[in-house]
Amino acid sequence: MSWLLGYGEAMPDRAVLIEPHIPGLRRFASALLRGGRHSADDLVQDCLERALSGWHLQGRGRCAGMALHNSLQSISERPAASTGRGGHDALLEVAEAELPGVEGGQNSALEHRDLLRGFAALPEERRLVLVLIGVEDLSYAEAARMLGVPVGTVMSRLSRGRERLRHLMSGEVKSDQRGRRAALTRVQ
Amino acid sequence: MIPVDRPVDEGDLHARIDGLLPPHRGAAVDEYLAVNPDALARFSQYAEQREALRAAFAAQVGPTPDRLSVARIREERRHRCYRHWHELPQP
Repeated sequence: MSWLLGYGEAMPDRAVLIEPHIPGLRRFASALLRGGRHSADDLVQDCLERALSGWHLQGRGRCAGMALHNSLQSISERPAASTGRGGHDALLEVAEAELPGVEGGQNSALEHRDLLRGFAALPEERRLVLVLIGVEDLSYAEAARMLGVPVGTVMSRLSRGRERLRHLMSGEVKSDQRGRRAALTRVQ
Repeated sequence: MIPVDRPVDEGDLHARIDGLLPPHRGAAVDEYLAVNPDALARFSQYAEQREALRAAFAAQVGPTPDRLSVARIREERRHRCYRHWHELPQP
């Protein structure tokens, strides 16, 4: 009964399928919720619990990743999870103390915080495209499949998202410089 | 036969910074950028933004906490099942 003997091999351990996707899921959840790390991790935990109980992962590798991302997104759409979807001010805590050993850790933490604030001001659909393509290295076709939209839509969200963020960040720099100049004139 | 190349568009430029540009489009994109300094400047900024976003997300999310490991979640489920079983009314 070779089919029976082979059964164990045909069922890969879920941990092996799931574990490699956890860092990406955490970044995706963070982009989705625009919230603090804890609400994003709560969402990921909820998603993993579902994945490990009764829910069957179809396929391997990126297919498993896609199923996990879709599950995460659908959990986040339930009213109970929406508490994590705060406004723009409860945003993305990049704790400066959490970058030890990085040269100029404080400065880069501040830069990260400013960029993530700009990012959080983008509409959800553009945030997800920017993170799937720019951070998770999905191809345009893979991102389109994951989000259930045509590739052209992904391209236009990517293009608009990048341009908007560029504008936001150049505004940030200008207002920062103005602030510094104002501070200097006050000193004089 | 040499295929007639379509003109370079925004999609090609994004693909270049995302490492998704098919090799045969590389020369056309280089030529385009050489004569379009505005596009070159804008896409250089996008490329920097892409790198900065990766770094910011890495710092924001940090290493995976223990509570999100598959082993830990399984362990907790086992404990929960065990408790539920023992909380059932005994015959």
